[in-house]
Amino acid sequence: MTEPSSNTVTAYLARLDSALVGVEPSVRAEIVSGIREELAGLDAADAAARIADLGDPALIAAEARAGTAAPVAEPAPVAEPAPVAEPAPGRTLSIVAVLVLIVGSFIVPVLGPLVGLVWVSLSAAWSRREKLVMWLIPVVSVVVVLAVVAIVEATDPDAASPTLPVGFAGVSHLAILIPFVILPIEGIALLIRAHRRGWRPEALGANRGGVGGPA
Amino acid sequence: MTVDVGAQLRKGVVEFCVLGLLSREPMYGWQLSERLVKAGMIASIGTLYPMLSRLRNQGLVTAYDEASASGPVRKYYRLTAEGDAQLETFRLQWGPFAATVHDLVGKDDS
Repeated sequence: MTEPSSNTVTAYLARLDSALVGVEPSVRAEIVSGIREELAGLDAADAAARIADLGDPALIAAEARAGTAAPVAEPAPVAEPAPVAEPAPGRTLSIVAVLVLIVGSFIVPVLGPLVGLVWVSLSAAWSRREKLVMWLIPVVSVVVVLAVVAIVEATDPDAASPTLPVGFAGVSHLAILIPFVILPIEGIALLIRAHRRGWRPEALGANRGGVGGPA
Repeated sequence: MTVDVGAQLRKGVVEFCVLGLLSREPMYGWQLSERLVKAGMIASIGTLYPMLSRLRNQGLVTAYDEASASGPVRKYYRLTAEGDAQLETFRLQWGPFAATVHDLVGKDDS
């Protein structure tokens, strides 16, 4: 290896080497020898200029230390906002609420499912949108049934006429579907959705894209 | 918390910049350092050597001694076949990546 050409160079290399204490030995040796190579053979003025370019050995050492430290530790993964294992607050009440919605009609007609609807609306386990859809489905169903009945009656004042297609004969009985079929199905759909995401509204911001009611 | 955006960006690409430089010709440490410092990719030669050491450990770069035209024997670094392949992979990804980032952070009129 070529010897440094001047005292300035020697002194600089010595300062550099001691500044590099603690840096991985192979890297430390490589830095010092790389710089020694560069400074070798230069005249004093050029060497001084090169040394000025290089800057403070302490800075070089700090950079080297930062570079050889175990690959920059990844930031600790952000903790889940709410561990899934921990039950969501109000979970039991939400379960009871949706059960009332499902079986309410079979226990106390009209009032039972109404209590279920209101109770689910107050629960934190469903989003506003799901609650809105939950209310809209029975309301829309009622409107549809009434419209069908009205159309049938308008087109044939004698609604009981045996000439009507079979499907229309019991159209007014469709109303019975709402409390005993639609609301329970709706309740089961809400139960499944809430259960899948741990009884929290729209878990982790993931919008499943569907609506709360039966498809 | 303030983040040194430049430092974060450099951290991800500087090693590929070294591979890119070495893909053109073998270079010695000082030469590499000068290019990278001038380009604003590293702060000092102190950053370069730990990086070269990592690249060598990964088998992407190899070193050899050679007498330079000006006299002293220098340690030169050059790409290995693996380093070349790695660089090619980076090249293929960089364009679409940069375009995607541009789309995501760009202003509407861009």
